[in-house]
This record gives sequence, structure tokens and C-alpha cells, in this order.
Amino acid sequence: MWTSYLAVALAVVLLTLGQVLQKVAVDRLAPDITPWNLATAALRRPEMWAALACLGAGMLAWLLVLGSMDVSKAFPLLSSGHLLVLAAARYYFHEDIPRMRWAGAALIVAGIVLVAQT
Amino acid sequence: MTQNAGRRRGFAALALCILASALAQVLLKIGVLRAGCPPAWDSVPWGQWLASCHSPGLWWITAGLASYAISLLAWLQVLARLPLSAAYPLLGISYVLVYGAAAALPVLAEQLTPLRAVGVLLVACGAGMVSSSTAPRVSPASPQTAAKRP
Repeated sequence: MWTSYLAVALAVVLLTLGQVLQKVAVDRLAPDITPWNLATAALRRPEMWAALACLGAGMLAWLLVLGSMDVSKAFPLLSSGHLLVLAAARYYFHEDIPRMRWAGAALIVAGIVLVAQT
Repeated sequence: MTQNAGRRRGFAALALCILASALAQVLLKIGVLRAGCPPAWDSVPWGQWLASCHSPGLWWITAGLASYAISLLAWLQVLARLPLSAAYPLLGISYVLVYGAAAALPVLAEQLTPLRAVGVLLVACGAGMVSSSTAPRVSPASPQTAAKRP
């Protein structure tokens, strides 16, 4: 079973890194860009390609997870990515994080602990 | 006003993103079940491993990946229009959707214990709270908002 959790951790890190890199890519584009231009302009940024590589590898790890775990169990475990994103929002993007969000992070941890017991 | 329109678009894209990501999980799980591949760490060589999967399952997985790609494109729109720490955690709604689908779809036949349901609710609530904004609201007429416009 520990290999499943290892695959979950790998998937979470890769998928989250993919999300953060997407944010880095689109942050460097004009804010009033149209939806289609947004997608094509994003693809011209190296961060976007790094993001897609992470998402692809993360998806492979995720398929390994689904192969050995209920989706109703595995998917909530994916929420540990919120914790990584919160840390990235705070320390990399320097967003202000209200206390309420840290409390939410604590609930997520509690939920993950419960789901992992099942 | 342009800022409000941007936010509205951002939240519409977020709704699409949530639905598509939940659908992707269900399709991927059905695909993995139908494909019947052995767990990858059962020391099967990679070539043999893929060959031992059934193709109908691979089509479900492809559909799941397509749904995931749609949610990803919608997510890009969200990212450009909403702050990361406000947008990302709203995806928490998809935890309830996926759990609901696992409960409702006989094909998944998942073992749903009360403990797991409570855990999923905690995760979803936590995700909702992580998305809450308690930062002071700024009225449209305020100098801070006006200063952001070109």
C-alpha cells in the first residue's frame, strides 16, 4: 500500500508544480488578453512547457494511483496540493494569506487523515 | 466595470473547470477499471504491461484526459483573471462531485464508509475556507481600484 501513497505524493507534487508554473506563465501576459490569445500566447512561454511536462508526468503517476485505489479515496488525498499551493501563494507569489485560509488548510489536513484511515 | 466583467468570466471559467475536472476523474477511474492493467509495481516489464491492458479502457482514459485538458484550458482563463489563492481552492467543490459520482455510479462500486464521507466533507470545507477572502473589500470608486486601471 505504501507504493500507492508514494505515487499519490509524486502525483501531487508534479500536478501542483504544473499549476504553479502555469500561473507563472500567464502572469507575464497582459491581463486583458482574449481567451484564445491567452492560450496561444501562454504556449510561447517556456514556463508553460515546463508546466505541461509536469502535468503529463503527474497524470501518469495519477493513473498508477487510480489503478490501486478507489477514486473516492484517492481524489481527496489530492487536496494536499492545496497546501502546497497555499505555501506557493504565500512565499513565491507574496499574496497575503488571511487566517481563515490557514484554518481551511488545517481542515484539509484533518480530512486527509480521516480519508487515509479508510 | 471591465474588472467586474473579468471576474465574472473568471468565475464562469472556474465553474467549467470544476465540472470538467470531476468528470475527468470519473472517466479515468472507469478507464483504469475497464483497461484491467495490473498494478505497475507488480514487476511487469513496461512493454508487456501496456500490452496487457484492454483497449476499451484506454478509450475511457483518453476521454478522461480530454476532459482534463478542457479543465486545464478553463483553468488558464481563471488564472489570468482571479488571484491564485482565491481561485485554486474553489476546486474543492469537485471533491464532493467525485465522491457523489463514486456513490451514485454502480460501475465504480466503491466502498463508501461514513469515515470517508466525513473526511471528504472536511476536505471540501477546508478547500472552501482556503478560498475565502477576508481581505478588506474595496469599493469600485475607491482610489486603490482606480489606480489599477490604465
